[in-house]
Amino acid sequence: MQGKDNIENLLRKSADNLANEFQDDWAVFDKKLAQAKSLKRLKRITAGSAVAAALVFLFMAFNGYQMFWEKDAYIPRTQDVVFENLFEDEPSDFNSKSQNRSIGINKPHESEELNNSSPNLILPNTSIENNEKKEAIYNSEPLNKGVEIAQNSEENQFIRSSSPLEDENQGPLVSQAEKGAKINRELNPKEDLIFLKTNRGFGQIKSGSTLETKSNNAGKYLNFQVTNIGNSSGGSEILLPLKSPIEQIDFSKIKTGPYISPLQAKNAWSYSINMYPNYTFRKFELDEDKGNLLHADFADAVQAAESGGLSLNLGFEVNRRIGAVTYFNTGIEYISYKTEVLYNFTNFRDPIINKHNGFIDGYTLKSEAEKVNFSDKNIYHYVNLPFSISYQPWASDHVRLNIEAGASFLYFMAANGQTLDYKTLDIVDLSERDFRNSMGSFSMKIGANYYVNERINIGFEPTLMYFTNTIYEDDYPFYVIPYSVGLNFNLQVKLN
Amino acid sequence: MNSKPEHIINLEDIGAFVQPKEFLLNNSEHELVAACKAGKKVAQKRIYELFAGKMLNVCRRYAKDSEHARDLMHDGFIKVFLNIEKFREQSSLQTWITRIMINNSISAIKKEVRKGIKVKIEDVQLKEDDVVDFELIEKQPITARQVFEKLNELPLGYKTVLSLYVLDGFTHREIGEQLGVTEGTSKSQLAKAKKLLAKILTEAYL
Repeated sequence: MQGKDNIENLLRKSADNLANEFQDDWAVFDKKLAQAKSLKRLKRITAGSAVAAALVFLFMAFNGYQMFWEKDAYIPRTQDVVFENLFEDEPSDFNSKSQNRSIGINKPHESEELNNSSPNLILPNTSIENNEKKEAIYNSEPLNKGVEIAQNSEENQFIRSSSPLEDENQGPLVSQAEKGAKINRELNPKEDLIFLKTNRGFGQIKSGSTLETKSNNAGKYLNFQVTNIGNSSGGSEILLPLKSPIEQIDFSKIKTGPYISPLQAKNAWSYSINMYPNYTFRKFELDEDKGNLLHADFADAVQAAESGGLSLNLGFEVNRRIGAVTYFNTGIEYISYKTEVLYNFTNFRDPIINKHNGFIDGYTLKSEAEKVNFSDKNIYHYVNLPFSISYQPWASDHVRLNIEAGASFLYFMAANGQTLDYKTLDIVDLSERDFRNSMGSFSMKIGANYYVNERINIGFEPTLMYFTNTIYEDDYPFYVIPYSVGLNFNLQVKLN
Repeated sequence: MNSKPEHIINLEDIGAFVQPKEFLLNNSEHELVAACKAGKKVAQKRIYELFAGKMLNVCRRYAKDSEHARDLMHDGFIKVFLNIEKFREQSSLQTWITRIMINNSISAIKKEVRKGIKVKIEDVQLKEDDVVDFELIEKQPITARQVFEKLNELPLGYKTVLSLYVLDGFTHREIGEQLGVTEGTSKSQLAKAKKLLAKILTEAYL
């Protein structure tokens, strides 16, 4: 008892004496404090941004913004635009006949008039063809006054694309310029109201999509259809098909669809090579139920002993555009996780291992405590098959914001390096250990890409991965916290 | 009459020309806390200067080594300054900071202790002859640093219980609550910790 009391007194006395041994390190601490404050601020901003992004996402989703998986996902929505007074007298057979007409965009400067009965319907860049082969549906002059397709007008300057924006199934994408397109309208108080249903935002003009006019008398429609996108020898020009001569409607004021950068992949399918250095953080935690598989001295050291490492990953990626700014991505990647282990602890006991079940039953104190210093790089190699959806809600000509979520299947290939055996504390080679062959994971990335040109882009993508399982076998006394945070610096080279 | 007109305020009278540190030295704890709450860096620095030594000593009991102790102390002070708004001055500032340091240190090792797992696996089989007559140690010149170096060599569970009980004045019930173990476990850990520390000290310095 005396001895125990002495220990307590000795400890207290030592503690009092040590309190005076302090070297001022305010400068070091001040830096840490500043970082902590910045981090706190960053967390608040991130949380606020995440909430805002979620709200915007929900708003878009509830507002009918088609983003995922719908067949015509990137065909812009339509919006009623009032065309007043196009008709002085409505055609009597508006409902009874098929009113489908086609608007074709021909070569520039190629004008034609619709037909003899519509002398004022001038189609300089486009032609309006009746599906019924120029059957005179519109004989009324007001229509002819009202609908005119502009040629060489300043509006046409806006609606040009520098290269073909073709999509074998879904038609071309057009660039921001379309937002500048304008439609003129004519005012005539004597005439009836006509509603023109136009593409909202002009994110895309699809061959076969419909431009629709409607009388204010219910059920009276006149449909125009885009049938052809004209190509000129100097490249394609996509022209908005409608322009009436008198009053302008500024389409930039109409709610627009997503911005399509001229550097965005034009084809629905694209293939690329990806390279990205990846810095991974991973964390061990003791498995509560397996404490008797782990040497107690080692348990003290192991949790803080692993730090993240930098590795270079390489992959072949296939992207399929499924929306104006939405992609499905898959491919195959070689990825590796590199970690550095550093063990520095005192081993002052030997485990008593149960021969039957391999558990540690207890310990005996060593005659002399050993100082254990061990460090090595551990590398785990995988083949990864990712599946993800990426959505690019914002873009400028060269920079694009990317939000990506998906799942992947990781196939374990090999592990290199040495570590300490968690039971005996012997040095063991990772290649001698048994690991599970595969892992599943869910991932989410939020980042930005800088497009050097159509083929090359550089991205910075913080990535969060959540693993569905670990590669460690059941008798491993740790579990890896099932997420990793990586910072990807991505170089993507498009192959097509 | 050389007296100043009444409307002229002498800045020296309100401490404007006094160096911040000296100014704060003369201030009460309440004023120091108020200045800190207002985000005054000089006040933060003054608080740090006042308590860092003591707090490092607190953290040293729970840390692996002196570097780890310093990190724990820094983390603790960061929490202090980020949460100073919550300090309602119902206890002394030192008590409040000490509490934060202990809580911070315990949460740092709690992951390792993990609901008692670390304590349970510390089931070292001490033989009868491991019990040392510690009277002998007092005759030897052992420095405080040497004692704490050996304390740090103890298994984490032992060291934590010993520090909480002997140095920070926790009861076994409180230790049990903090570490998620029973009161009995805390008592037995304390007894074993004392025995083991006595043995290590004896072997090292006698």
